[in-house]
Amino acid sequence: MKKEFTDKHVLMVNNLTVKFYTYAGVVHAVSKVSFEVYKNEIVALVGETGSGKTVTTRAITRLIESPGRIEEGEILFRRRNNKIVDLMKISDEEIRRIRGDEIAYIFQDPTSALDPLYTIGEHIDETIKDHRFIDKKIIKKISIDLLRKVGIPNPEIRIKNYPHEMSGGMRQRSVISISLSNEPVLLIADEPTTNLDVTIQAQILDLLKELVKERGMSMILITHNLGIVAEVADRVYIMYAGKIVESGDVYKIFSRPLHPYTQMLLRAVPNPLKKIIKLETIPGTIPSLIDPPSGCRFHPRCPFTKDICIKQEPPMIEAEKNHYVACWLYK
Amino acid sequence: MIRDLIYVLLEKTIDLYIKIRTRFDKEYTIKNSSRIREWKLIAYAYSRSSIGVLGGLIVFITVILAVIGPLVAPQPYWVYPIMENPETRYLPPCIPPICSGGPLLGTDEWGRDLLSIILYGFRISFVISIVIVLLGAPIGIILGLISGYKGGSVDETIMRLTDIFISFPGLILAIAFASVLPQRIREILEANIYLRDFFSYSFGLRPQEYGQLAALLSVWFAMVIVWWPGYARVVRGSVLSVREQPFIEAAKLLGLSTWKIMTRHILPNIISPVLVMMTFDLATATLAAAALSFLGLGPQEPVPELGYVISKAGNFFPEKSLHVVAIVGSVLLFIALGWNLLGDSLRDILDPKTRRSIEYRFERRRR
Repeated sequence: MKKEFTDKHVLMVNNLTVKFYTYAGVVHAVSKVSFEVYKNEIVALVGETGSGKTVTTRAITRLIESPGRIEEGEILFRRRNNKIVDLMKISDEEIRRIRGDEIAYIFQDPTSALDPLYTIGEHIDETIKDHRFIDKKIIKKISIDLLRKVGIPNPEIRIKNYPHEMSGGMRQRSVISISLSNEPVLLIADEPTTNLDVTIQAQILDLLKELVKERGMSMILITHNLGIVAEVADRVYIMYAGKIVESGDVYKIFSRPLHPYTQMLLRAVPNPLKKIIKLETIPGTIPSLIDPPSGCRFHPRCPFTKDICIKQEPPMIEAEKNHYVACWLYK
Repeated sequence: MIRDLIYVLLEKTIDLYIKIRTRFDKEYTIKNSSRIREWKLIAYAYSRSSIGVLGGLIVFITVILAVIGPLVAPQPYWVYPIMENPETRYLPPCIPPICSGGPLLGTDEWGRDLLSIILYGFRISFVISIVIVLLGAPIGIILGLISGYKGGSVDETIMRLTDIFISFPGLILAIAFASVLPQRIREILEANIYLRDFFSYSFGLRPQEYGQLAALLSVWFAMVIVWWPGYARVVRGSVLSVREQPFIEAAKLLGLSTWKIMTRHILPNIISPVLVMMTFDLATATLAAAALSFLGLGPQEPVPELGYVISKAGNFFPEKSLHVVAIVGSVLLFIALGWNLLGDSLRDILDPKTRRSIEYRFERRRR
């Protein structure tokens, strides 16, 4: 089911496969993943730990460290000048220029993503200087504006602060401002709120949402928190064991989840209005990706397993409009 | 008391610097408050360490003597008083209250004033150790950085090369160099007058002694060759741990070039152990260079290399030349001690964590 790269597309990933060649064996971290991101939308990539979300986004900018290897796949990206390039085929130097300029990242852990030896201003300065030729004074003005934009008080003074002088929330805001410094086309936020407390989480998410709408960027949000997904995302991809099992509009996924994994995932979210005696879980654990289960990778944990699930891999089908699922129940 | 004085002195220096900067940029103090606080903390932590203050003082004296030594030496090293008066050979030290009129530290084999010899020797030892470390360390740092950051076959190649150099006994290499190189260097110096003058003056020697200078330079060359592998190993080890830090990955994802990541993010994060190692090595290099000339691989008469002076005096030890061996030996000890003590305290001061604990101890005592 191959799609056309339309005018509205920013990114289209086709059949991306990443494998890690370790001593224990070959880890099939990401297998034939396809997804797309449209202009000015927030796409959420949801899944348990170890389902390949981070590896997928790292592969977009080809930053897979040895022993990992991108085996196959096509990553079409619309550059700022409207030229469409395959990120798998361009040169190392060209992709380095795209990183941090047109595709930017926000990191999971703001504490360690900042170099302790440099001030926030120097971080922004460095990121801008490596991609654009701008006068020093203008860079400084841009940095102060950015910090003000992400809601840091007294940006003129804060710009000279070291990471250790800031609180967790402020550090995360600074990391966001660094990522935004070149006005990227696509922003990838890798669990941007995992280490923050709930009140700051909400602030950061609102900020991201606002920035995306205002600047016309697109964003890929990686998370395992379904609450965040419901609040921010426009479309959702559910990943399980290195594969995308369900995708669609956020309302459709939440109102009518089709894949058994999605259903169980939604049931596992505790409802704060109910007194819970025992938290709902999905029995079993995520399978070893060195030797993934045959057929549907979810079959060992699935309550509806049929013979065909064990033998054959389910194809991605369109169950309703803009709602795709890979499960034999809907064939 | 001395420690308080040192602290006040350092603080005044920092304040002065801030004042100069404020003149150009009105808001300098406000904007750089965290940096200034850290500087003052460094000054404080340093002044609290008695070892560091002592080491710093010794190093200060060493540097001063090395710089002005050859200029203030009472007697030139190339005049042999023994030619006129055989009595001047190995005169004992003459310290004012006990005796008067004689040379303060006695004389050497040629009747030269030992104080002047030592002042010249200071300069030679100092220049040679500084140059060995300043040339050897960067080679090691660059190779270690590349090796640790690139990994894989590049790492393997550089580290095996390092192993080869480490397994080479430095002394043997130095002997080989000392027998081959001086001739070549001598020719180069003969052809190049400016080079010859530059080296002579930096070692505090007369340009006529370029033959001896060639021997000195070949020792130095041999030392640089065997000096870098230690740095390459230490740096590579530190790079391996820093490389895995998330902020390095962040830098890669922000599209910084490899060169920038290495120089701006990795190097500053590993530099403090290297700085400590460099101060320790200044001591080791001084002693190693002296040891080579003690073995006769360095310059000969009349160059007053400290190791060579000891080896000469050793022929008449201990009846006549006890004072020469004792005094020149103590001078070498003095130089090495200063660097070692300073390096020891630098290790505490350069580490932000121990620096904080020094501050904390101080705050608690004051309360």
